[in-house]
Amino acid sequence: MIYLDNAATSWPKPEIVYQTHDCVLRNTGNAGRGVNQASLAAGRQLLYTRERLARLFNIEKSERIIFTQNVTEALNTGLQGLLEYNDHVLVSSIEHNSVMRPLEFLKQYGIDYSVVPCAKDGTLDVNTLRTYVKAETKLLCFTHASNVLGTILPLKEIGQFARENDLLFMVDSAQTAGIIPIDVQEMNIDFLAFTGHKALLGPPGTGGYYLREGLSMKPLIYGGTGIHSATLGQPKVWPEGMESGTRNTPGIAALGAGVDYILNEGINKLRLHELSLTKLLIEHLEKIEGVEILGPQTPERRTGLVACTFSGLSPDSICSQLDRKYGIITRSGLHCAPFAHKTAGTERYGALRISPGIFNNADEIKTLYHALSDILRGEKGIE
Amino acid sequence: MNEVFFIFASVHQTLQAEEELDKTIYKFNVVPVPPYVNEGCGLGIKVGEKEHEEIERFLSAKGIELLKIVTC
Repeated sequence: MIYLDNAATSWPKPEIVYQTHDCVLRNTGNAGRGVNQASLAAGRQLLYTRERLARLFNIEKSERIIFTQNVTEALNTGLQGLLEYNDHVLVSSIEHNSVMRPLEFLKQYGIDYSVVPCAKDGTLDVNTLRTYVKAETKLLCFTHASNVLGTILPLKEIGQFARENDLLFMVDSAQTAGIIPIDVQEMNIDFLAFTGHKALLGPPGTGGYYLREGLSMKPLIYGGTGIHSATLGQPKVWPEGMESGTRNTPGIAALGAGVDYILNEGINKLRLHELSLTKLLIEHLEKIEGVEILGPQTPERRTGLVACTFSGLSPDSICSQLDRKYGIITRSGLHCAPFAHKTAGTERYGALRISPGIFNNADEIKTLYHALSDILRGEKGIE
Repeated sequence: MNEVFFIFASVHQTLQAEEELDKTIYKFNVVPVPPYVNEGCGLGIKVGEKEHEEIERFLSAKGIELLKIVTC
């Protein structure tokens, strides 16, 4: 199998990630539940991963990092926890449903949003933000990079705009955390949502968020925290007060091992490798007649994923043939981001998304190219 | 001799304190704190009475805040 769907979930993981998951699952108890050695061992794993993430994102206090089961839960917590009646939010036109659906849900509670349009390639002119800000605007919620177009948004400039206009700044880093540097202080990020199972190299079922110190918000879930058990009110202490219910300790520990791998290898080195594969992929795709590559033409302005369409041919059919006939894993469809496809003009048939990761190599990209060339020679048009 | 318990707001801070103290020669233990100590996270760090002020200063220098000190 040649796996080129790292934008969906990274595979394989560094060996230490598998080993850590197995070891922690076998040897620890329930974090924060008592003073027995098994519970303390689990608690130390959570602390370790929080501290590694704090280092990666330049977060001053690791207790401001909360673990969730994925980035969608993190975004839901932030949007539902920070926003109140009459608040207004700005989002880009390349956001994922993990942002758009909670915002649609919140409309019934008097919370509204406006979509700031991106260009067809997903790029955003930060100067246009001003046009959409209203007196009620409280939050800018932007993805760091599109999961369809690969376009990287200018977080530093958006963060500066947020600061100048006294707005909160929330970032969805699903496609970038672990492969594109993120500095919450330099970028003025108030709320950073991340997933563990993509470029952070952890297992599925891990993710979380960071909220700047001094800001508070409602938890999404209430219940047992292991602390202040005698009181009925939810503890306001971070991180435990925001983490009701048992955490996925083996998964979070394995995520810590993934982050450790990134810190040891160096995020810039990993990014350069992915970038070299992206450039190679684009070069090869451009040789194929009828292929249109979505997103920015400059590889440095995009993440490792490359989505494309084929003149008159169905991305679904090509994706399926790559999988069944050649053992090459890619993803077609709308990628849970209809707004981004509308921006690109591909909402009718979607696109084929090819996303190399840090463990892919140039030979695999060339094999994909030959497979695509073979398929396209025999494919009929969309009926 | 009295026993001194350092109480922290969260398990996270307690384990941060443990992590820092592990790097020193101070003697300490992570212990349960009885429910009647109606603050903190249910855990505490028991330290020697003679050293407790020094350890408090050490943790403060590391940016770890104590919620309370209980002497029994």
